Amino acid sequence: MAHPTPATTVARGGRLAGIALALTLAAVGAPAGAQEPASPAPAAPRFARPTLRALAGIAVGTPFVEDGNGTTVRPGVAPLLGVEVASRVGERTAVTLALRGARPGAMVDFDAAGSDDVDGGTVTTVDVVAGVEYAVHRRVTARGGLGLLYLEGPAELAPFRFNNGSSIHPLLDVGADVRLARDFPLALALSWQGYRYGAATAADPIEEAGVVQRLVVGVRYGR
Amino acid sequence: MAGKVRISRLAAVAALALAAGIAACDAPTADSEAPAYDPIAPALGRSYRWPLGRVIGVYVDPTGAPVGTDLAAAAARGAELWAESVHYGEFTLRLVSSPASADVIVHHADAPLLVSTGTCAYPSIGAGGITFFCPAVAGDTAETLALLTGGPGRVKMDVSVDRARVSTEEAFGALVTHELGHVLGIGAHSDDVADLMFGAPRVAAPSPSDGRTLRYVLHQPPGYTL
Repeated sequence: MAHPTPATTVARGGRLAGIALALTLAAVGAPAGAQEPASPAPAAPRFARPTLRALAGIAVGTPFVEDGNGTTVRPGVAPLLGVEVASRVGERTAVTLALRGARPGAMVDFDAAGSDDVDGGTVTTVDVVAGVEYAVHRRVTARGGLGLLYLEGPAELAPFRFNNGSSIHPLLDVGADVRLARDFPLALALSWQGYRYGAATAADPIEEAGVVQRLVVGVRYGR
Repeated sequence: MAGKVRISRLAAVAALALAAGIAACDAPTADSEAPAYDPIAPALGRSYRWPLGRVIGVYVDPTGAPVGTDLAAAAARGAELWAESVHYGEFTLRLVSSPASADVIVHHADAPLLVSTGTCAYPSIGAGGITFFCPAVAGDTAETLALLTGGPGRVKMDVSVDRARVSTEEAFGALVTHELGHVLGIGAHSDDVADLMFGAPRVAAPSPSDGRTLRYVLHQPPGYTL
């Protein structure tokens, strides 16, 4: 028999509503990991009470644009911070909602004699990704998700001046977490992210759209 | 056990598919551009430009300004217009308050020169605007034009504009912006009246052809590096 916790009740009403409630519960400070049943539950609720996780890492990315004239605009290596809410929906499966932000520099490489790389300014990235994770091993969890990326950069640089017609871009995110200790909720977190960029407007000099990729390596704290 | 094997295989296939997908992803790209017109000055025979990414200091000398003429405002507006023509911040034209910190001096035709002309003679052509620099005798750079007031300087270019040669303030603004096009590396004139770099400019702002030509010049190996 299922225990009709509030989360369970809402989950029956719809997954989105369940996620929304999960966020609300996280906001009032549900202690990480305290919600897991000590002994096998008669029947797991579809959405367990959520846990809150924190992420700190670095992000490296592929170019925003490669111009045939030799110029490349790429993001610099940048620290990244994030928070994530996770709710177990099965023995090995959980749903997550992550919010991450980073502010890399935009490095302009002119590839011209006598010209150095130029710091083109700062790029702001904030992504929100809804995902599913699956425990493939006692210590390893794989995950994937879809989300939205907010991207804003210096208007002097063409990729950001035109900004693909919008500052919001659909984002694919896949990754894995590796638990680093048995009794401490610390994990090595790896993520690959990709989003399509360019050629959205007639004025955009980026004539051929491509995929900008980002690799995030960090540590995650929380169950 | 069989379930674990299936999952491992699935994970391996997914990882391979992901790796293949990532490898197949091309970065966003822009094509290289050809110039709309020949940007090389016949008298020079070689291109010139500033190092890319450089802040180019422009000192506007107010000496000899006719009533109602604002050369500094025209130069600032011209700098803005040209900045919109490039894609990657290849240059920044910035007005400075002293000739000592200037790379370029812009002045009215009636005002005396603030710098020497190096080993070159100043052109004595009758034109609304003159952009002057002196190629070094040896090498692929330009001479630094010494400040006539003494002291250190780094001026490489002198721009003279003659308000009396044009009829309106708008035309004067176009003339100043035209000369800044020469400053940035377009050494020749366009044959198209729709271009700002037409010999006697009729438009106030760089055309798409002017922009394409400037971008071409900026990304070619320069004959002279200023």
